[in-house]
Amino acid sequence: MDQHEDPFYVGYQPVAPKHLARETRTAVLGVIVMALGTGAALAWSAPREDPGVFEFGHPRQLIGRLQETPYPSLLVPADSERQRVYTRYLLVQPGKFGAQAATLGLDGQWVTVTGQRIARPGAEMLEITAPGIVPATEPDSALPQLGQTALGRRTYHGEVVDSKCWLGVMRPATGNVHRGCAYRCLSGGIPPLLMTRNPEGRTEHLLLTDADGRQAHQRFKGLVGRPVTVSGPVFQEGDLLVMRVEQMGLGK
Amino acid sequence: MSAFYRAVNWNRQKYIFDGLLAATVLGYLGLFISLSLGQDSNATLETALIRGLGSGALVLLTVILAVGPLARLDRRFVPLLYNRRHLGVAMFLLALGHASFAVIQFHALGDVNPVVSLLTGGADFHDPATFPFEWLGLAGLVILALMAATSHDFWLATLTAPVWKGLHMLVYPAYVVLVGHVALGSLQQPGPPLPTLLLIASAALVLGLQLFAGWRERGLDRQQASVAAEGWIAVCDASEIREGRARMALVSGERIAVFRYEGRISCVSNVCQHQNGPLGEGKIVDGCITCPWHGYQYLPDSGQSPPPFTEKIPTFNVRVIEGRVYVDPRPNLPGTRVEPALINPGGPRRSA
Repeated sequence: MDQHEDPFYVGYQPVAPKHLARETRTAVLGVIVMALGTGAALAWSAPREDPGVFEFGHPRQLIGRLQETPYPSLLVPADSERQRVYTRYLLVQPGKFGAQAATLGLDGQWVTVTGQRIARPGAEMLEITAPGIVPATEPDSALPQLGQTALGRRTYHGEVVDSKCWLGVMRPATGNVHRGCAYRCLSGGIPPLLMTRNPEGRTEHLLLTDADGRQAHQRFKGLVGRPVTVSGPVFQEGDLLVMRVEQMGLGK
Repeated sequence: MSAFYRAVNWNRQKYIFDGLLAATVLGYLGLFISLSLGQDSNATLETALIRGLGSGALVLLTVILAVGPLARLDRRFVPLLYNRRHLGVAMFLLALGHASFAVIQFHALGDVNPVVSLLTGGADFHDPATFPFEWLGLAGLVILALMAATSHDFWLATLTAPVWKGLHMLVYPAYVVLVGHVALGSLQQPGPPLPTLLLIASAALVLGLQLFAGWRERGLDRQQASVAAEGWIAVCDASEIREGRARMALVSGERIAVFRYEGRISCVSNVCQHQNGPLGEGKIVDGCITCPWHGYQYLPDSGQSPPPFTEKIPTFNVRVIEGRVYVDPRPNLPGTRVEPALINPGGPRRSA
């Protein structure tokens, strides 16, 4: 009986019987096509990500007035009358750290901040890089007095996210797969946002503080990555919505 | 077979196998990443890489688990078993890459050690949507690491076959926890149902093939063990066994392999000492029973591997009466020589 009638092959033999080799090649080709097809289908079916910008490796310098509360921000005067009065840049440190330590005692001072821009439509952030924050001269046209507009008590459904990832550093920045990262970011002092969708389906965000308007990132870190409902008075500060959270709970 | 250990006993077929494996893995990653980034301008390279490595590992693990039963059902897949451990090591490297990039991306550069962050970061068991799926992935990775590290035959000989086999059977729990890792992790994200359907299909494929192969073998066992006479088991007619091949049967709860060669009949345990391969699906090559999985060899009359090898398997007393093959169901000690039964005692006998 020859190998064509009763093929047998083990891998240490130098050559496989031609008939068996041909059959096995067909089977292997089928497995490879199925594997690659599965990969293509998985890549193609991935959900579309939100827009966002992280200008990694391209730091810029901005001059503005530093605001420590509720979370460190740089208020940069607008350079054109067509624009708003100022642009708010939330400030964070590299990695998963907020900028509380870097801005301590600088509230109200004019500074030059070097950092990498993080942004999505309607929100700006700066990740501080070397040389960091240095004193600057107050410009002739100082910022007007910035106030808050009370919008009343509101209730929102959404998800607590860390502002750094959500604005542009990471995709996806929501849900269970990102929960560990969001937890670590809030633990390190990154400002918490509530990501919510308006009736038109567009995403909106609110900066979250405690009921007294103070930082509360540690309080919110246990709520990341899941649907939540938060209630409290909402204030408009420039183009930023801030909620002083009085009640919060899981689910809708 | 080799009488001494090398990292890899390279030959032409192994080069082809590993070259094809490397090309497929790189092709998979390239296809996955380019499609991910090409279809969505907001997608990021690091996330595409993490997803590509993780999905590639699970696809490869599915293939590995499917090859075993496929080889029992279709001879075209048998040659893939010889280098299956290469698939396993490649799969582990993909999984390790996935885990490493994920830990760096999601847990590094924070206020605690990344591993501590992974194990403590807001774990909540009360809701599938917030279950710490990372723990399942870590458990699966630890098992895969143990298997990859002990995949070489050196460890098979050092740990002994039963321990080694038991360790490598952990691939099934690993598969279960890794399916859970995906189901409670990325499948909790909003998106199209296709990934969920593919995961269900892959799990059904693995489970279905294992059950079908087992069901078919159980059917053969029931059929062949039904005839007995005077304490000896009548297995089949000698004419039903092809030259150089075997007929398998179940006696006293153990599978045996009855080989026909050069006018003689010998009977040994069906279980190869190497990795429990089915010797009855092997063939007499150069006078030796040769396992179809990795080519381990045994002399048919004694169950001993030819020198300098030392493996031994149990033999069984056998006789042929009027063309009918009978086996004594009591196994002899491994390596015990048994005089082969002549199929035709009065007829001409071919020399070995």
